[in-house]
Amino acid sequence: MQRLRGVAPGLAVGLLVIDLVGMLVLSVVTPSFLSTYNLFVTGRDLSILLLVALAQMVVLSLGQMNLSIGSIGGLVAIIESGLMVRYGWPVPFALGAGLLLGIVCGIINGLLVHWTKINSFVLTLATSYIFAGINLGITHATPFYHIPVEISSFGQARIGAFPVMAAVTIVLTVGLFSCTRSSSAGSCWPWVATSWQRGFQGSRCGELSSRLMRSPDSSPRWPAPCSWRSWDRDSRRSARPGCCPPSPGRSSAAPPSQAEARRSSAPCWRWS
Amino acid sequence: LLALLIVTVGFWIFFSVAASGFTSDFNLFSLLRFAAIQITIGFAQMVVLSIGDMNLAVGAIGGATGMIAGWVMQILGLPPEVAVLFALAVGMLLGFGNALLITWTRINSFIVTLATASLITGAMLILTHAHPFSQLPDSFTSFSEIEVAGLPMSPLVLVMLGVAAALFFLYRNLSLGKEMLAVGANRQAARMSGLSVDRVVLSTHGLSGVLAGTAGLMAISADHTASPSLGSDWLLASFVSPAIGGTLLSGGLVSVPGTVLGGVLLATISNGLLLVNIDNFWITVFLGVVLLLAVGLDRLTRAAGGAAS
Repeated sequence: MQRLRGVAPGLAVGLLVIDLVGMLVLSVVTPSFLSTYNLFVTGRDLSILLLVALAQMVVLSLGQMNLSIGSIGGLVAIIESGLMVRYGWPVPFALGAGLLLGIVCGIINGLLVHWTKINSFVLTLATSYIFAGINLGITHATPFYHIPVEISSFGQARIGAFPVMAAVTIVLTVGLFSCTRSSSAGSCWPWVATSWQRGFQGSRCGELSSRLMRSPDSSPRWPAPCSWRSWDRDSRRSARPGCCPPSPGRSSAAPPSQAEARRSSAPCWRWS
Repeated sequence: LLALLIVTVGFWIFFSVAASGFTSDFNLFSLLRFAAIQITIGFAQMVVLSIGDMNLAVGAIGGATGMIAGWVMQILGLPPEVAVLFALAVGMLLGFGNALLITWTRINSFIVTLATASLITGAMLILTHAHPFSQLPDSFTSFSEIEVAGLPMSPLVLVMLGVAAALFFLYRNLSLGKEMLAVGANRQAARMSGLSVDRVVLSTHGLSGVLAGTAGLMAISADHTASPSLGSDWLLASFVSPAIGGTLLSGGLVSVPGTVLGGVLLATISNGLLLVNIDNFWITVFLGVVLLLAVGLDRLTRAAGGAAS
């Protein structure tokens, strides 16, 4: 879990190099890789996979996991198509209802984690079976054909090699990126992760995170603007272990263990 | 554990009243055999949970070893004993491979085994071309069919009980078992008190591989077929039995009898719900709910106990 928290900035560069080399090798080995249609298909797969990965990323940033992403996605897709195909709902309403259902499923996960304090891995493993089971129980594993043409043509639409579908992903990705950079909610995710695991509640961000843990509603009021960047800067500029305040759970008489000392001297999290 | 026993007995009473044929010899036989396999899968996960790791490759290793045993018996025509030994050795090697990757790269075991799971399954599919082996020798398949001492109990149940006894002994009496729990409870402390954590991780993942291989062999013996899809649905089962039985997912605490009871409960529920004509799909929902309830109850009782003491 600790390793998931820090994302080294060098890693992204390395990945970019691997990506570029991979593309180069593939386009040399199989020239059809660069064909317009293949780029379109690859881009479309990418735009779906990226959204799935972002769905996991926001949960990982809390230091938790969500194994039910796949079943929530499947359930939402089935409900949306069921509303459109079976009940003839107009497309926007069905999509809205589907997104709402996704939010509800996520909030169910969140509430259960909050109330039961069960490890999110086990909890979402259980709910993933529940969501997938509901999906199969409703549909008896028969797929919906004849999806409205607006939907299916949207998936096929392309401008050159650029899949129109990718626009959705790009907007959401940029939105999430700017959210983690600027908004107080986004920037405090890593704080919740660290403070949750350490259980400290003294500092501003600790207060914030405990407040968040107490009130699991979807739009908490943030008590104070909390900028992770100032913390990060401080901890880098001065050698003092400012990033991770010690946990009050440890009795002050006991000397800090090596592990704790090492942890608190290093910056404990960083956005890429 | 007592609560779990009461719940299990309660379900048995409920199903023997509500579902006709639940107590028939045939049904008890297949229920216990299914439970034995589920529990062995749970053990494969339990040992890695005890050191605070996870092994998402349990199903992949079980499926691969099952396919290898099928290949050795059907294509090479070697006797089942050889196939079993060979398959278990492969299971152990795959477990060692996981452990080496974890200790060398220091990557989280979750990520490592997630990756090796698809590696192992992929290699197995490439090597076997996804063809099942269905002509297994009679001496191997009949092992799961005979009844022990006239009771509705397959020898597989005895295998499972033997494994359970061995694991119980391991955690209760052997130094390796204690070391595993120490590593699970606090890895840093274990390292600082002179334990070779890497060695413990290595033996634990090897043991998990052997147990997953055992489960794979039991499953192909019961199915009479080594099918490439074997193990693909083991993930929930591998976590449910230990989690219901009170094994801590963060490591340091295991319960072998709890895992046995958890597996029996899991098998009872899926068998009983099928008998009372509940749609197979809804059983999945029910299993998820049972896992939630079991872990939640465990939390509650532990919190209550902690407050009292």
